Amino acid sequence: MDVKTHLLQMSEAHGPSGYEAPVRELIRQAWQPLVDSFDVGKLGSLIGLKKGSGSAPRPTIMLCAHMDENGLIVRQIEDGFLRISRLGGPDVRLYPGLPVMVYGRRALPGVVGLPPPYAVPIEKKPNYPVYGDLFIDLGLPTAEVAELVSVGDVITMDTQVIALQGDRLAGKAMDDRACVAAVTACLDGLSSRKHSWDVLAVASVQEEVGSWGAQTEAFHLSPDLAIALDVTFADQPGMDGNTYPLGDGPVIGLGGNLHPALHAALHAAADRIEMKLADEPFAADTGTDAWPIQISRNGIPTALLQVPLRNMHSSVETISVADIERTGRLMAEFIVGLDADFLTKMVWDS
Amino acid sequence: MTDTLANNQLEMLRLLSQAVGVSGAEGDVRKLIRETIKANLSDLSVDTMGNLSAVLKGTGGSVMRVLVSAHMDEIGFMVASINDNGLINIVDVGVHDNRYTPTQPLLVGKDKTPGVFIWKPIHQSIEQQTIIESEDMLIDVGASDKGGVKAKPGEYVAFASRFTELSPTVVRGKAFDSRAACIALIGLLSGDPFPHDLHGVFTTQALIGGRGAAIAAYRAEPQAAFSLTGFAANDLPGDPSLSDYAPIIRLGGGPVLSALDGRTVGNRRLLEHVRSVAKAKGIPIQLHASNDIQQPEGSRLKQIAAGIPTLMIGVPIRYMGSPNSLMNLTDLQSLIDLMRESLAALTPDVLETHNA
Amino acid sequence: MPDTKTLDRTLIKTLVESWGPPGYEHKVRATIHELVKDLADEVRVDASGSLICRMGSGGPKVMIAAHMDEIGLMINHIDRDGYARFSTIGFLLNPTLYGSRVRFENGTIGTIGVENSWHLTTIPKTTDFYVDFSTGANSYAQVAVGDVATMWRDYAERGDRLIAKSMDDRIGCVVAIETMRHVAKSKPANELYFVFTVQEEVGIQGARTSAHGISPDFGIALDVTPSGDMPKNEKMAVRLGDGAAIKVRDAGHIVPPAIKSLMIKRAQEAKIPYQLEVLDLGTTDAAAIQTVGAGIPSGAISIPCRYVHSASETVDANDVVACIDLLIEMVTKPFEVS
Repeated sequence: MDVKTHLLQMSEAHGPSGYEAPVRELIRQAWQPLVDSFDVGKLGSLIGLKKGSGSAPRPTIMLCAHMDENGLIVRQIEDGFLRISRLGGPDVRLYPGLPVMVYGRRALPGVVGLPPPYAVPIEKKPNYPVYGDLFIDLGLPTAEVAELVSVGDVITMDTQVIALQGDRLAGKAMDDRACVAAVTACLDGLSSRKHSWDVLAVASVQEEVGSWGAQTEAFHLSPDLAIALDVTFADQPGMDGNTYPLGDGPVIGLGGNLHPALHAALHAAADRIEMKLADEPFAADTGTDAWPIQISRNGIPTALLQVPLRNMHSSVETISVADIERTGRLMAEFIVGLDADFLTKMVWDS
Repeated sequence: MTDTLANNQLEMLRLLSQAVGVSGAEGDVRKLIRETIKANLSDLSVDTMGNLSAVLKGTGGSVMRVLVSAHMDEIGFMVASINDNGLINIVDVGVHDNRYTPTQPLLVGKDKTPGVFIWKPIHQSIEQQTIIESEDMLIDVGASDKGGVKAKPGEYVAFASRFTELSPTVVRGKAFDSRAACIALIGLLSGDPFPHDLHGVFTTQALIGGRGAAIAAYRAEPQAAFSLTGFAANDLPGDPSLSDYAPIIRLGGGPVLSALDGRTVGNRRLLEHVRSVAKAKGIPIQLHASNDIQQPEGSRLKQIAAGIPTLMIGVPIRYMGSPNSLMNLTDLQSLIDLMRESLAALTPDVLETHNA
Repeated sequence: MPDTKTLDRTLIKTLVESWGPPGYEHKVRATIHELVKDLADEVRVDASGSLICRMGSGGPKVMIAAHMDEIGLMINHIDRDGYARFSTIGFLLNPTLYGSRVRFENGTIGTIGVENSWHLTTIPKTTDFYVDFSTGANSYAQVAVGDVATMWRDYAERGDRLIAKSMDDRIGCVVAIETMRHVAKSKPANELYFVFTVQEEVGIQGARTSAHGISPDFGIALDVTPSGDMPKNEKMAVRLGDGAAIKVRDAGHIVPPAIKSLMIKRAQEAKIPYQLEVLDLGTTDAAAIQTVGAGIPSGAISIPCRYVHSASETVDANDVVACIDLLIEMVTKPFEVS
């Protein structure tokens, strides 16, 4: 399986929060040969079931990576220009001059514009630009814009993946499709290995606006264990706090949001295949799908695996393909090692 | 009813207050409580969040299930990274009042290595009269390089406060909001049974979002819940009775009922019920009606599943959030008495559903 | 279906003048209970205090939510001069408070004053305000710490413009009740749960728990939305009088495209004036319903409203009628969502 091509396709596909259908279908195609069945959740998450070899009823593990990306939405149409609101948490400073695609009656390419510097009132400059300043220019006559675009149409960045040297890719929506690719890699790895547990691969929706897909799928699927996957900050200039080198392997979360026994078991799996696995401490909220999954229903022991990424929430999010492949391999190794009584061995205060 | 805590309860309070149990790592506290209650209660369990649950079977007089929670966790820090000089960077666990923090003795990591804060740069914070924030503080355990620090990133740091009796009724120490609640719940579980089943839950991660209580309540499916905790007392110099706006919670003024905590409105019917019981039994009470959030567990409990009528009730604590806070033992005893009487008198008609 | 002439103005006046801060909705609930008990097949109150009315059975379960609570305040301290200080329950707008009147459950009217009122140059903090409930020299009305109050202003009309302290969200309750009256005369294709929810203003709490209890297939919230047609206000496409606002997105909720499309389709079929709403601030019961359990796809029909969270919340009767018409179309016809 070619992880690089798979990720490149996903990155260039569109799927802002709440409107994930195009990228969902792409993922469905990629998972088709690797899973036994599909389901789509009430809010649009994709679930692929890969059955285990154990005797039924089998315990289940959920692998959850979100497929939505940050986007924009048309708030008002003003003289043929589009005023916008956010879908998710895009960085406003990175939008001016960016090519975008507006999903009106048909897909319309456009660019994010700003008034020229001399037209900006001086009192606005300290916080400039803010969302209210930005607009989208489709280069179309006003009447045609009115015909083709409506309030509420969604917008994504219209950028292509840039293959850097080595195994690095730069593009939009690597957060978190890099992790969807890791799940794909895991499923691929499991296709040639025996595992007794059922695996529920979930490409979740609406993470960027509150992890709603993960929360509802955790309730729906009610798995026995869960691994949430997301990106974390890679080393780059000007970063405070913990960052991790690109290309040095996955990073595992640590703290109250994550189950200590599951954390230890993933470390043991990494040791078995001599893979480096760095720890990232979280004081409380990891800001990922792991947060709602952990306290769904009766509680679900949850782990968090992360892929380091540079330039988060931009059109040039940069990752190393090797990190993705390793994350997939680690999950496959862990799942192969899950035996029927794994859950009974997860005790507190031992 | 007694006016003061029994000696064994006081000793337990000492142990619990001095135990380490930062949100997400409550193991030591859980062990202490489990050892204490396991003799009387056979039905103990620990769930995936680490909550310790016990059921005191009812006498059969009522089919209700009532949940009483007491959280085990306290605020603290987590080791974020260790620098080359052997100093430790930390992040806050829970919400801190950093006016109290810089000079407090610490226990660092699993080995509970003693440590102190150093901060940078002190002249600036003095000149500007600013509070030293956690990101400007580092922990010194006496190591001279990275290798000299045993604690690893992800391990927890707690305050090390000695529990001290200032008078026969007032004690000084840390984590009273949680550990006094634990004493009260242990007391309720250790006494005579109620008409209904009492689900006692010693919860985890209350201070980072009431997360332990979320799954404990989902499991127990109670018809009503009480969350035991602490409330900041503000009967301080400057004569607050003259104050223009501060609501007054007094140390020694009796248990505090939460009518409003942040945006969490205490269940109207449970509030009325406990108030009337307090009046009938002559137990003094105080009302908390504030937009400052003291504890997120009540907010969480009331929104579990199809909704659980919930009331937060607790002891007043001066300098809450400080590792050297003050609590009045009579308030704690009154809390236990009031909860016991309120639970004994709780019937389904108290709840809104029965008054449609 | 009502038009602006037949719209039940008495119902509107009754509901907007009712008293019901978050957590203390019992009076409004009793009023609505009386109005709907003969319309529904089953009426009950759930653990959180929401009033749940089922109409019809079989077919997809659709929950329609309108919240009963209104923003209010709770007394937290009374000083030795008899002035009361308060905490807010829900989002009070401080610029609207000075000189406002509040009403307690026992009917006492209080006046909101502010410190240094002669010299105000900035917007005061909540703690700068107080409630005066004096009744004469050294005598005071019965008000105690823990007592709750709401804004008080009586209902007014100016042509088609309807003005009240609590259009948010009693006008949503009106839309629900008027729809129930219509549905009672026909047989709905769906199993409908009209839910009058509690505690929306303090974190959409009642809708969340009621949705868990009912476990519907779809949700629709009825609530007001700010309009964007006032001088120098936030740019927003919603205008008073331009029709029912079909929500596309707000700060807490992305409406599934299929629900949005169905609402537009139903509005177009029945020639009901509508507009699309993209809101950056605030959210509704639908946000809570949508994320309950395994997920409940939900939309919202919004009544455009000027001066939301003031004592003069203003809606247009034509919009109210359009919302009723659209809701009737939505709940009586098949809920075709792919």
